[in-house]
Amino acid sequence: MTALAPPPPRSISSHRVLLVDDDPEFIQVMKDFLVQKRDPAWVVHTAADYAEVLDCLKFNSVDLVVLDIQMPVMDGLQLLTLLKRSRPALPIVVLSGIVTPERRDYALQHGASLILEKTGVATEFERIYPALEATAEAPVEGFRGMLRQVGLIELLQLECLGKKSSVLELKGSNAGGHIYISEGNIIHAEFDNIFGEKALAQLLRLKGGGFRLAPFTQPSRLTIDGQWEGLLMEAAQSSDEQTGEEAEKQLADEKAGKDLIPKGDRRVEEIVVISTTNDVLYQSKAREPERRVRLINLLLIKSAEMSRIFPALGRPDRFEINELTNRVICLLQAETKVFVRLSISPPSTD
Amino acid sequence: MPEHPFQGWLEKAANYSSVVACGVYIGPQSMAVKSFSESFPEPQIKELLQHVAEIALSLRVYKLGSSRFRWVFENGQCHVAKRQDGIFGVLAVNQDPHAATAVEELFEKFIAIVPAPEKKPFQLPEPGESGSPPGNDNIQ
Repeated sequence: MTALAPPPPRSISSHRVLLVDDDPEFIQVMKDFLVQKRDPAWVVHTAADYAEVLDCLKFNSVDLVVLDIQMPVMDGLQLLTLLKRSRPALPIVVLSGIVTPERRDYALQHGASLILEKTGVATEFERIYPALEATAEAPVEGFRGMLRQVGLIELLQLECLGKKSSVLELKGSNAGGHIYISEGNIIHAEFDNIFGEKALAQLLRLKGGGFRLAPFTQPSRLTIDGQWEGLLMEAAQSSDEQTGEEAEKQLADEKAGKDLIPKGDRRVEEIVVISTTNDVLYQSKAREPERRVRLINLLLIKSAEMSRIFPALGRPDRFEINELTNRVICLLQAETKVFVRLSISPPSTD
Repeated sequence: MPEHPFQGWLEKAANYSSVVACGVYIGPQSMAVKSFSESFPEPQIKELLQHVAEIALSLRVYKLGSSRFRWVFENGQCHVAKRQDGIFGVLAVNQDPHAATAVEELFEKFIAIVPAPEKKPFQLPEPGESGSPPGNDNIQ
C-alpha cells in the first residue's frame, strides 16, 4: 500500500462529506484516504446515483459533496445543476478524468466550488486534499456561502418558495445585516440602523461578502409586509442602477431621514417560475403561463444572439419592460427563468 | 446642408462616456448607428437593432408594452425607447455608475426630436458614404 503523508494538525470537529460516484473501487479508495487523514475522521457517506444522493441528504447533513462527472443515466453536471437548485449553499467539488475548459466553465457557472482532476491513485489525493479540507469548512449550524458563488436573490427565492423560516445574516466589507423569513414571507430586514424594505434593498445591493443562513428566531419587530416576489424583483432591478458613490449617498440620506425616491404602490400581478426543461415550477395569477414560457424562451434566444454578436456584454441576466404603470422583469439566467409583472399606481400627492 | 435630427442625436451620445454604441431603427432597411467602442462594430449594431425590432413586435403579440425596455447583461446593458411614431432608439451602455443618467437624458432628447416631414424618405448617410441606404421607409 502506498505510504501517505502524516496527518495535518488535529481539528476539533468532523467534516462530513458525500462522495458520489458509480465506481465502488474509487469510492472505497477515497473513503479510506479521508477517514485516516484527519482526527476526528471525516464522516464519509457514499452514493452511486441521484436517487441515493437524495436519500442520503434527506437523512444526513453534509458539509461537502464530491461528485464524479462521468456517471451513467444522469451525469455529474446534470446532478450538480439539480443539487444546486435545491441546496444552493452546499459546496460541491466536481471530479473529472479530463478537465476540459468547457467542462470547467460549465461546472463553475452552475455553482461548483472546485473542479479537480480525478485520479484513482491514493498519493494523488494528497494534492487535492487541502482544497477539499478548505471547501468543507463550515459553521456548526446553518450554512454559509460567498455571494460570488450563490445569488442572494436566488437563495431568498428558494427560501420563500419553499415556505421556509430562517434568518439570513449578511456581512459586506463595511457593514452587515439580517433578513428574517417566516414561512416563506420576508417579514423584517435590518441594515446599519435602517429597517424594512430600504434595509432589504441595501442588503441586496451588497456586491461582495459572505452570508449565513441561520435557524429562524423572532425579530424584535416586523417591518416588511409586501409580497416577496415584488420586493426581490425591485431589488434586483435597482441593484445595478445604483452603485458605488450613489449607493453610499443614498445610504447617508436615508440615515438622515430623507426619502429620495418617491414610489407608487407596487403590486405583483403575475409571476411564473420556469425550470430548465420549460416546466412551470410555480405560478401565481398567470392566466396563460405557457405564453410566458414561450416569451422567456424567445428572450433567451435573442439574448444569446446578442451575447454572441457582442461578447463584451457577457452573459444575459434579465430583460425588463419599464413603463409608467407597468413593469415586467424576466430573469434570464441559466438556472433561473422567472417572469414577473408588476402594476404601479402613482404615488399619492397628499 | 443641415444634418438629419436623428444624426445629431447619435452624435450627442458621444458626450457620455458610459454609452458605447447607439442606433436608431425606423425599418429593416432604414437604420443609423454609431459606435464609440471597438467591441461594438457598427455592422453588428445594425444586427442588434434588427433583434430589438423583432422583440418589440413580439411584445405586442404577447400584449406587453414596448415603449421602454432593456436587457441587462453581465458587463453592460442595452436600453430601448420607442417614440410615438414607432421609431426606436437604442443605447448600449457599460457599467459606469452614471450610465442610468446618460440613458435618461439621451432618451429624453430622442423622444423630443421633431420627426422628419411626412412622406420624405428618411436619409442617413452610412458611415463613410454619401448616398442614402436603399429601401428607406417613410416616417409615419
